[in-house]
Amino acid sequence: MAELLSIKGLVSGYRHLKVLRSVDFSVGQSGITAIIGPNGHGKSTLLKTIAGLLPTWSGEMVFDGAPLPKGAPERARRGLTLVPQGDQLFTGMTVEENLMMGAFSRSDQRAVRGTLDTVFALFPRLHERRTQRSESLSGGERRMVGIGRGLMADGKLMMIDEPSLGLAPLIIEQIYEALGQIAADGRAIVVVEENPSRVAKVADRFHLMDGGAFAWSGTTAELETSSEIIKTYLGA
Amino acid sequence: MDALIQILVSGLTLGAMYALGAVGLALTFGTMRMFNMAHGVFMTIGAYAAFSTVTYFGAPLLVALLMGILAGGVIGALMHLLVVQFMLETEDFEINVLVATAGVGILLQDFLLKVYGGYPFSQPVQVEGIFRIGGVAVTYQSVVILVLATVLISALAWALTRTKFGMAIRATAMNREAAMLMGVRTSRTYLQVLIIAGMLAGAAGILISSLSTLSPEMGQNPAVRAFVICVVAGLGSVTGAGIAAIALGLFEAAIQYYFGVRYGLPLMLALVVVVLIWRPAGLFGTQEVVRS
Amino acid sequence: MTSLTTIQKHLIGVLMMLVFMAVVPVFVTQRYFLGEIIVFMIWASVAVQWNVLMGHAGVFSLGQMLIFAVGAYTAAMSMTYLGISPWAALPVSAVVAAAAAFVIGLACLRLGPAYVALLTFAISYMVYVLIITDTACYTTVAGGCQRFFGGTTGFSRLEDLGFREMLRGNWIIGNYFTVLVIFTISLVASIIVIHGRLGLAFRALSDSPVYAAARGLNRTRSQLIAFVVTAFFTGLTGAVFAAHFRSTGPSLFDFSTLLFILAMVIVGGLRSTWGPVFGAAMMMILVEVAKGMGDVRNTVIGVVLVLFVLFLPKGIAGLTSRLFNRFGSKPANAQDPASGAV
Repeated sequence: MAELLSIKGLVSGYRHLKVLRSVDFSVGQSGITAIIGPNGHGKSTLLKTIAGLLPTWSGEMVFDGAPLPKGAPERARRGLTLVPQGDQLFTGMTVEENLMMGAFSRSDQRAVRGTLDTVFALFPRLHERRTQRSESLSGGERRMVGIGRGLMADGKLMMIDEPSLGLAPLIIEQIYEALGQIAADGRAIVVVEENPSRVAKVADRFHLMDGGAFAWSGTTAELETSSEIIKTYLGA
Repeated sequence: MDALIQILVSGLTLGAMYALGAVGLALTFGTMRMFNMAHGVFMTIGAYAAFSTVTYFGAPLLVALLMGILAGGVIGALMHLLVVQFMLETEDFEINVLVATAGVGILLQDFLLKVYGGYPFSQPVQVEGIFRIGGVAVTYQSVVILVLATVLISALAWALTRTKFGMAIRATAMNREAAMLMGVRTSRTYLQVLIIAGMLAGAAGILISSLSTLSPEMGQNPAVRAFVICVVAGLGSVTGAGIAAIALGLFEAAIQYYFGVRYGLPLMLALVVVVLIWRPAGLFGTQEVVRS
Repeated sequence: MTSLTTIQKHLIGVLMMLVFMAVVPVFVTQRYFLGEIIVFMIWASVAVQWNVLMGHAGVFSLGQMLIFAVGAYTAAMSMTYLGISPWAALPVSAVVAAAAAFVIGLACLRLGPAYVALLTFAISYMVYVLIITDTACYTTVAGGCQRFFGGTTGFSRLEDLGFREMLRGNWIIGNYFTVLVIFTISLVASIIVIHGRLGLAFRALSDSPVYAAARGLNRTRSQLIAFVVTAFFTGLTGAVFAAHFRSTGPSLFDFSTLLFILAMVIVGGLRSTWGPVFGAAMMMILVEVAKGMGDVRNTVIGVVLVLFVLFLPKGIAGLTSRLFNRFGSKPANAQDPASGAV
């Protein structure tokens, strides 16, 4: 089966600072792919470049059989969804308005309502708080809104940047449970995390990013046997 | 009691006009971080377009009103398409767009001067007649101003909260990158914002010129007030601008009643400075504008 | 190291400019052209100060002509009401302008750039309205009603700089050198600010605000100092303007005049040192040429502003530094691109 996303030789960065050295990367049609590694080495930059928020300096990206169009809005409309680091919610809007913005590029209102029900089923707390403004939510709830918003796009690939950032362990468990459910429904997800321990329980494939390129890639089983290498990169 | 009614009537009329003039500016700044220094000229263009429609084409008043609003929208669209869109992702955008719009403003004002001459006209698009509330004479025109401003601003509020493109505008104003990730085509959103701002400015220009006269520089005074209102409301807050406009309109009416017209703006500015010392982000401002 | 410091290099440039300008009256004898060059030097001085304020200190003030007018009006009013000579009026006006800037700066500078721009613009407009709507006669001068701030007609028939006795028909040369000296002082001051400690503070504040703050640099305080210093020299220039023309009036507050000077700054290059001088020269020439085409001055200013911001936002100085870079050598005030992450 063809890869959903296929990237070759990606080089990118901010202004004059090169961050991604040459990344080759591919994502299958379903399942969870994890990108792990210490902070500051390009994990977020990779997601932002794929999403179109950062320009590609060189390299090719093919998504769902076609080269990626330029610009984040067009890529989002093609089904490439990014849940950015730190939520980036629309602070003046309610929970429900935020979620509905996630479905902005969709035109079938009945299907959108259906997705909304799915999101509320996955995150019942959001249903309780749906008319609340997003500033008044807790950290975990905001994260749920962010992921829910990503789901509302009903895209083909959902990329999530550090879902456990700043959250209490119990909430992180809940988030990852939800991610597991989403993947079980047949979606393709890419997750960026600094610490692999959480995401190791749900992901199928791992890439370790070091200094702007992948230093190691493998499956969950390979991750367990290569724990020495991993520990070198991440510290004990 | 009569004094109170007079102040209320003048104040609400002024406030309605100021609100119409300020709300578009607040929307532009909130969404695009852009200051339109040609805002006053947009008002003037709307006023002259309405004037021309009546004077040269003999059209009925309502058509002229629509033409004025349309002219404002067109000039807003042109401003985006010909000037602003090329500057959007550059560094120093805020100051560059200030300079560019100032340049466009003076250009357009000179154009109006060449076409219409500097002699002030009276604005034909208005309603004659007076009625009385208590001992106070109230013109029908002030009622028209109040009603029209309310209708237009309510339409804007409806559009921003109930339509898809309105949500896109709000989303872009709140978090541009996140909006892009939702598929919002921000370049189209900016065009829509400038068209809306232009239309509201055009309407404001018609109403303002109905109370005074129509001349190429007539937009400068209302534009300065619109700037000040946006600043005191907190840059980017559209509802704040509307509320501040009405409050300042009432305040100015009171000052005019007791002290005379020329002290309106200075006292308003003094009040604004005091407010900003107390709340540097403006009354309803949410952005971090205070620097260390 | 025997190479000259940046300041020394610029001061040598000033010296060269001074020599060049001092020799000009030998070749240009027509009073009209000498008068235009005087006007050029006056506006160039204002543009130079505005560039220090906007381009280097980061204060987006639209009140530059207000400060200029404070200088001009203080000179005119002190000459008219207190009878002091124009020479005495010069430093007085500079100080008053600096004080006005201090007050305005205290009110505005804590706020963000857009606020500063709008508030200074609004204050400037408000002062203009107050001046022209003042109809009360403060006193009578030469049989006519003199409003305290001059009203719509301003002040005229001011005492001149006193060169008529010495130079008779060539009095304008005396004014010329007076203005040249003021212009030079203004330029030297701007160089010292830009390339001295204050300029260094501003570059630090804009490159790494957190680090600069940790080192004790306070943006608001530094901007206030810049505002006051540039106002001093702008006010001084305004005073010499009033002394040269022997009059002043509310036309100084015209929006087109503000944009005219702004165009000089933008055309020259907002963050350069010498840009405003070249920008002033170019704008004066453009406007002179435009006179032949009828009254298109305002259109020309508008078109220049839009075109430069769209296509040449770094002005002529940006163009020349790009040319220098292409040929290898680096100009004195090139800045390395900030390697900012995120």
